[in-house]
Amino acid sequence: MTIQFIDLKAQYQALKSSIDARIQQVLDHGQYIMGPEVAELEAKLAEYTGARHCITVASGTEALLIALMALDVKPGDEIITTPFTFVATAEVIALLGATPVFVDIEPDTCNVDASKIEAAITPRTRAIMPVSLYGQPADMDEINTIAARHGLTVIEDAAQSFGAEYKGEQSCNLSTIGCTSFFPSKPLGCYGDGGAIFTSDDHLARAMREIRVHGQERRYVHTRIGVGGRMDTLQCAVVLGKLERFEWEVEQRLRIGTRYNELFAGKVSTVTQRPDRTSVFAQYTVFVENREQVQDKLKAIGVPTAVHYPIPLHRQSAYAALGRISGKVSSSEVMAGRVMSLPMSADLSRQEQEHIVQLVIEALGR
Amino acid sequence: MALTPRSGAVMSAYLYGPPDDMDDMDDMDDMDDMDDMDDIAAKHGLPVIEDACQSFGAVYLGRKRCKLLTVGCYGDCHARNPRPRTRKALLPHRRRRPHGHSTQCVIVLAKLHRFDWEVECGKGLGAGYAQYTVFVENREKMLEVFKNAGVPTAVHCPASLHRQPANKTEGPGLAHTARAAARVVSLPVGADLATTGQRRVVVVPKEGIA
Repeated sequence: MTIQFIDLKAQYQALKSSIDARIQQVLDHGQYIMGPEVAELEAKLAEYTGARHCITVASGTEALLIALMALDVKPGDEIITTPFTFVATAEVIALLGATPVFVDIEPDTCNVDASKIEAAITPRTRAIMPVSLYGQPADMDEINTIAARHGLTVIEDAAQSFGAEYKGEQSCNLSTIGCTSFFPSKPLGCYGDGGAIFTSDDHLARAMREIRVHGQERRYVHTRIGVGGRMDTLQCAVVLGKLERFEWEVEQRLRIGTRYNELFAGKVSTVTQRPDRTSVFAQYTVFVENREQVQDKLKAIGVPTAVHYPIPLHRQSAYAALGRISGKVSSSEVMAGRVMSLPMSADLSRQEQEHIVQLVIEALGR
Repeated sequence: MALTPRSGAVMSAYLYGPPDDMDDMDDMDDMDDMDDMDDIAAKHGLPVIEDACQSFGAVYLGRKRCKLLTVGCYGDCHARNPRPRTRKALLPHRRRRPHGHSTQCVIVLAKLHRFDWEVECGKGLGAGYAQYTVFVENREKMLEVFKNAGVPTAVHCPASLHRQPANKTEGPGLAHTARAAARVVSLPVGADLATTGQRRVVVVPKEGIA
């Protein structure tokens, strides 16, 4: 059997009539920018998360950037985050001239270690940006408590975790601001770039809506610096076409991820699932030694793998000088050498999954 | 005169196209003289960036490199047309989302087969511009006249950048900008605009003022 790392084609086949119809509607009505599908999607996603506002934007990266701009983050400000994440998390901080402050991760979940955040706070700190890595929310209660104590804003980088729950609440509605991505490979993805910001703060929502259209308070009047940050009507339509199956997909992801954990138990070290939250398994990740050899072996027998992430951000040449490390980041460095992600999608069959598990265990010599 | 030791680049914008009626522009230099701009920039060791958002298809002569900043597509600059003049083509600048086979690239590719025809039609209409813009006095009244006649118009741009609240810059030497901002009106344009439609647009202001 040929195994896909993420099977987007199977998903499209299942949703083809819905997605095709939605796309055709946009081509027919011609409102390619801020068409009716934009508002429709925003209303549906806001309702899904429980946040008062959903603001769709050009990408997950743009979501983070616009969120920081709405907070008026400036050069000299510090934003606490994790180095064990996709580069966008630190990139947007640096683009605004602010300083990313890297705090180490927990070695079992690879999420930011909340117990190390307070030590990183200085008078220049403006916000904390935890990442809900691989689709499992970070320790949001602890982080929100610390932030409240110091007058900071929490922005959940939920690029990978839309659909996940934390103590019964939805990811993206766990803090003042939540940002997600609809990159095609995400649990809820479009067919290009897209993203969304969630907040229940009316002032922030208004700022974000203005920022995404070049800072316009109304047409031709630019009261703030903005970006060209809208999500295409076409991409909103694609996401709308996928919504009918999304809750089922979330259930499948949870079931498949849990099954992976059961099958690997005692044999292969995996990301720990905290009991008070779910994961949408944007990535299903295991920890291995001799990763390169293991990946080569698996590739040779048809099992694709990926590494998220091989180089933590404080070691990226673009960020080494721009960021600041708080304390030690030894877990980030160790886990960067050990993580390996396996094929995962809602359409992964039981047979494929058991096949993958068997081959991984053999490749590891267990 | 605008150059200082902190100048990093010169960024010009091809806006609509060159003014047809030079009488209206009296003392104004030719804003669109890329050769002069290139020479000045070269003298000061500065790169020139051309904001060609409205002028896809423009090409440049000369030593200095300019980059075409955007390519028109549905998701973004969906009202763009090429300029009627051409110079030597230069490297298209990649957008901030450089995914080579995206939905938007597919749409632009589908449009390319009739692109030359659209350019030719544009020349036939006397336009070929992203915006066909005229200068009027008493713009508010003119907009009302067009609106009552069912002719859509647009104003690009009523508030020039130095006067936007986000920029808050004032200063000498921007009098032409301010004057243009108060007088511009853009009219319907596009390769699919029929000749009868164009005639109607031209007649409306004459009827409205009479």
